[in-house]
Amino acid sequence: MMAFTSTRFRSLEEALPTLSVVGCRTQMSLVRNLASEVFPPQMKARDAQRLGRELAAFFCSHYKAQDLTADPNFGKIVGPQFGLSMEADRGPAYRLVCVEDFKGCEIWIELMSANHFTFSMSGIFWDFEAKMAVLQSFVDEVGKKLAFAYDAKLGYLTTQMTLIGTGLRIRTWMHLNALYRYNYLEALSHAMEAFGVFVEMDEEDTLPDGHLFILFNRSAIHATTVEIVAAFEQALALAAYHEMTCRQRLYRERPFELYDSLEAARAQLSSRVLLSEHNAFQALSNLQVAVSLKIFKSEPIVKDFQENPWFWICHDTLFFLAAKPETFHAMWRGLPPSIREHRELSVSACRAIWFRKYATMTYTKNFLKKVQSV
Amino acid sequence: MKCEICHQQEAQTVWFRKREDGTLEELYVCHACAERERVFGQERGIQVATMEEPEEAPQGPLTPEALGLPREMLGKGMQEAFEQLSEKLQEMGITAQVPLVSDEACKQCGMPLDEIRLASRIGCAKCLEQFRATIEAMIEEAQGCGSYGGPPPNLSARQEALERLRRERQQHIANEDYRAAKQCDEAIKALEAQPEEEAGEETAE
Repeated sequence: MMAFTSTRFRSLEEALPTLSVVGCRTQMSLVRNLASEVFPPQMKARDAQRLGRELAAFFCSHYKAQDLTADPNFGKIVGPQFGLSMEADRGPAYRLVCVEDFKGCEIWIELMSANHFTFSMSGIFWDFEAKMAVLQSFVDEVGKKLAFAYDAKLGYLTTQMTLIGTGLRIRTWMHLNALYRYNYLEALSHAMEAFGVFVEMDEEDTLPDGHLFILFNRSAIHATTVEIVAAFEQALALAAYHEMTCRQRLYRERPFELYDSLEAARAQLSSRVLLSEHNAFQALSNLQVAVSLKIFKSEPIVKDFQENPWFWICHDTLFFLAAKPETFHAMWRGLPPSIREHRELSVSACRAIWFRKYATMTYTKNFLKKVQSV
Repeated sequence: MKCEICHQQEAQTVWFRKREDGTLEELYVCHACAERERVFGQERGIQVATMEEPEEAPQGPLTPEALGLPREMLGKGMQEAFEQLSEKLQEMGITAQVPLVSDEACKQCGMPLDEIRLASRIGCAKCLEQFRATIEAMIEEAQGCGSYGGPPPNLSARQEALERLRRERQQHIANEDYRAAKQCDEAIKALEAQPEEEAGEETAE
C-alpha cells in the first residue's frame, strides 16, 4: 500500500501546479451569531424575517453590497457555484447579501440560515492565507459593530456543535479520480486525519458526481483560523501529490483501462441526445484525467476544455454560464417542441449539444502506442 | 466512543432507528439509552428497526415490567421510573447510569436538552450556560478538542500577536524548550514597548 504520509512537495508554492489540476474550488466560511438573540432555528418566523431584513439593510448601508434575496435566477445559480445553501434548504427568513468589494474581494453573507451570519469566500483560488486574512478582517470589523455570541472557553457560538470555536469551515472540492480507481481513498482519509482534515466519502455503492470529493477541516475550535488554514493547505498538497502519482501510475500500468474509460466518455458525449448532469460529470471527469496526463493532442478544443471549469459547467444551472446567451438560445430553438416544453429535458438536450465538441479530442501517438503494446 | 444520545456513557451496542423520511440511522449507544428509546421512543415517533443484543446484556429486555415495576408508575415521570430501574440494575450487579431523559429545556429559547443531544445543535448562548457540562462533552467528542485556541474578539493586531506569543511561550515551557520560550519573552517585551499605531493596528473604516 502507498505511504500516504510522504510527499515530494516542500511548500504550497511547489504544489500549486498540481493543485490547480487536481483541485477544483474552495469555500471558506466563518459563522457567527448575535449575542443578543436566540439562533434562527429557535426564532419565531416573524421575528426572524424582521431581523433578516434589518441585517441585510445594515450591510447594504455600511458596505458596497447588494441584497440578492429577491433575485430568483441568481438564487438558483449561486448555490452550486459558490457552495452556498441550495434554494430548497433556505428557511423563510433567509437573505443573501453580496459585498462586492472588500479589500478587492467578494464576500457572500448568508443571513438567518442555521446561524445569523455565514460569511463566505468562494471560488478557484489557492492563496488561502491571504483570502482568510481578508475574510477574518471583514468579520472582525463587523464584530466591532455587532456583538457576536462568544464564550471564553469555547469561542464563538454557533448552532452546530462542529463549528463552535472559530466558526471556520473550509472546504475544497478535489478531483480524486485515480485514487478512487485504486481504492486508496480510505488510506488517504486516514492520512488526512493527521492534519485535522476529513474527506467526505459517500455511502457504500455511491460515488460523488465527477469523482469530486470534499476535503474539510474537522475541528473549528482547537487552533486559530491561520493555523487551521495552514494545516489544511498541507493536507491539500498531500492529496494532490498522491492523486497525480496515481494518475501517472494508471497511465503506466493500466493504459488500456484508461483508454476504455476515455472511449466510453467520448461515445457518451458524441452520441447522446439527452445528457444528464450525472453522465456529464462522469464523462468529463475521465476526460480531465486524460488532459492532465497530456494524453490528447494539443489542439484548440483541449484548450477550450481547460479554460472552462468542467466541475462547474456540468451543473444543470451553471452550464449556461459557459455558453453565451445567443448560443444557448440557438441551441434551445433547435430542439423539438416536445422537448422545449419540459425544462429538465431541454437542459439535458442543450447540455448534450454543448458538450458534444469534447468528443473530438484526439489521442497522441505515444498514448496509442502504449495502449496497443498492452 | 461515547454514547451518541447521552454523550456520557461508553457506547455498548449498535442500534438502528427509522428517521422521518424512512431511512435508517445507525447509532452507537449505551444499553440504558437504547432500551429507553426502544420503550419510550415511540411516543416521539421514533421506531427502532433492529437492536443488536450485546454480549454482556442481562437476560431479556431491560423493561420496567421485567424488573417488577408497574407500568402506571411511568405516568409520574420517566425520570423517577428510571431512577428506580437504575437501583434495580445495581442490585443485579449491572452498572448503569440513569439515562438522561430530561424534561429540561433552555429557559431562553425553549430548546429541550434531549433535542440538543440528539441534533447536536444549540438554540442560543443561554443553552450553553444552562447545560454546559453536556454541551462541552459533546463538543469534545465532535471536534476532538474542548477548548478554544483562537483569540478573543475585538482585539487589535498587536493584541492578537501578543496573545499568540504568550500561548507559544507556554507551549515552549511545557515542552521544556526554554531557549524558544526566552525568544518569545523578548518578542513580547518588544511588542509591549511599541505604541499601538506602530504595531500596525487597523483602524475601522
